[in-house]
Amino acid sequence: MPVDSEVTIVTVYPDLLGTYGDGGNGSVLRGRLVARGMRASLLEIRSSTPVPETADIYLLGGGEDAPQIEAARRLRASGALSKAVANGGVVFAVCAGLQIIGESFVDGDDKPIDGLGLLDLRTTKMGGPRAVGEILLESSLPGYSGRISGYENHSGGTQLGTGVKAMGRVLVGTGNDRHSRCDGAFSGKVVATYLHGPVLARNPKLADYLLKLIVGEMPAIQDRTLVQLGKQLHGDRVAAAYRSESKRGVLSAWRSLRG
Amino acid sequence: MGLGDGQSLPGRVALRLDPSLITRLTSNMIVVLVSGTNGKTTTTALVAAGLREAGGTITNSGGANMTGGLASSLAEATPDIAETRFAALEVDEIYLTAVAEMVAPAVFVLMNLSRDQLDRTSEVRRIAERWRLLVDEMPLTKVVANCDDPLVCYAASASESVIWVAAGISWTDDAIGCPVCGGEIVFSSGSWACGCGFCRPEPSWKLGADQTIEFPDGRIKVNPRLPGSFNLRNSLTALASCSAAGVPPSTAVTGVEAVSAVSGRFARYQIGSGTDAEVMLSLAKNPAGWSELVGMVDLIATDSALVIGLNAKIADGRDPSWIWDVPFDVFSGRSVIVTGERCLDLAVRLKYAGVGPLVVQDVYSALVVASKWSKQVVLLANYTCFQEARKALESPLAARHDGSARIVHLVGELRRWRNLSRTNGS
Ligand SMILES: [Zn+2]
Repeated sequence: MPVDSEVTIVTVYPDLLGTYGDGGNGSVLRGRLVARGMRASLLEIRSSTPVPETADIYLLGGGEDAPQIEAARRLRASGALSKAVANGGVVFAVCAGLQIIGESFVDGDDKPIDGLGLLDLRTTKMGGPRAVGEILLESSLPGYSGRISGYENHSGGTQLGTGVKAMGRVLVGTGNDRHSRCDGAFSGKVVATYLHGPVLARNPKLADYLLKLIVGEMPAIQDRTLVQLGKQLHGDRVAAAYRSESKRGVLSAWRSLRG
Repeated sequence: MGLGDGQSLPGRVALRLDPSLITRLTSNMIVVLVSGTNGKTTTTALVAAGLREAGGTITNSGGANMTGGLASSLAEATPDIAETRFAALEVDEIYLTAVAEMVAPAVFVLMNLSRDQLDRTSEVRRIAERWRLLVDEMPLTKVVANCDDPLVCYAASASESVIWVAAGISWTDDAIGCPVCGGEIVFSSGSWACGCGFCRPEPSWKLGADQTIEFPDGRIKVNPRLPGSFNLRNSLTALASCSAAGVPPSTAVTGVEAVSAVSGRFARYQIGSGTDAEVMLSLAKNPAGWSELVGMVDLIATDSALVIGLNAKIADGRDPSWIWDVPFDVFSGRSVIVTGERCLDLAVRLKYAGVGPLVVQDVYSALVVASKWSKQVVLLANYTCFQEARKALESPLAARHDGSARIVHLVGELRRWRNLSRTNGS
């Protein structure tokens, strides 16, 4: 894509999928393009509006049970996201969004609901307490080394099929399930994760990774404040994840001592 | 739960000893219960002030709004109980049913329902269902309900005696799914409706032009001392509630207008002694509250310095990702000081909204820096950050204004810690 053409970013159904400030991911992507002197437009497509098929980047966020099922139903009926992927679009899906773009997930009564089938993964109830708290990954994305920080809050457990790879290895927190020690998934330009926060604000490198899938190499950002604040927040949250891990460690040691 | 813990402990003990305590103490009173996600502390204070014009009134100021906290507030007021005619009580949304069963209220005031700390009340729709059952089971209780909030309307419409008040709503994201049919509710030009026929009821209490309140048998002008348009709407709700409790607006308005600060909210403090710099503190606990405050451009004049503070302790909710839902863009082009333990999250959020953030982690230091920018400082903060600011401004050490206060404090802490470890060692 030529550097001077406009990048179109779509926030999919913010009225149904936006529980964890997920709209922030769109603001960050647009902000980082504009800070490089590139043109970007951010469209919020509510559930009553058709999803365009030719945008560049599609963002899906978190949602509660009923809105999540409604979002999956409408997206399946429209078929717009599958066409968008075939057109070379990037999809970045968080939390409920991750579950929706997989093969299937479950409702409150454990009844399976069809997903969009964009990624080879399946979600069921994880069992036990919800996975809630700071989460930290070592990136497994191609060409992206480094840590990815976020906050997770989910009760679903996700199993990856053979057609996808995990987005990262879990250093702190839970991620896809309690056993695999990995989080999220990706295949081609479709990337999904349990990390909200919003994750792209905490991880400017991840934001740029997604942008590069569309525009290729980009000039550096000249606004030093923007660059430095992003790095500082990332560092602050990485440290917070390790702190929360050490607290959890002390707690579980205490519990095991008490039998 | 950190909120109101200190206040609620004696009450919890008392309730254990005498489970009928709350029922007994309120049995001869006209009780008004105020609940909702936002504005309930302020509105309860306004209702209490209005009722007080007509007779002795007790209230639970300070946000101790679960059963234990209520028992504490009532027990403290025991000597005056005989002369008390009214009780205006703030009640946590989740506890409304439990408290109502204890006090047989004359009036429910249902303000709004929106997402609070996510880890505590994940589904506001469930609360709306509970409220609906409650008002259906208590047909003798009048319901003062906000007709601008679809979830409140869904709950209140199960009652046969509803007084609809146009109290406004600033946050519609949680209310989009129709509670009746699951379809989409469309908001437009001050009204809302769903395709299934569920729509905004016609209010009998509403704001007219020029700070006038219009009600079924008249109109009255009100000049609240509390700032901002949402406090005008809180005053509207309060006057309707007093009226439902038998106190006419002409009587209640005097009390309502006189309220100037509520548990430190909107209170003004001098920043340090010997200066003429002043800070006004405002508190918001959740996205809806923040959106309201941020939208109050009338409150945050362009010539005052703005400090925004964010903590993420248990009482605040550990996950402040909702800051991305708050329309901070209204401050675009301004410089803002960010503070609190999650000041970096705020800084990044504001930067992407076109605001220039200055990071000062300690809240008192942030206020001091702001006072160099302007003599008028406004602090917007969430719960524990607001409390820290208040404590710092009220403590005599804060009066030093020169930063040495912090060092004195630190030395004190060190000494205390050393003494403690000595005692433990011996
Ligand atoms: Zn409907």
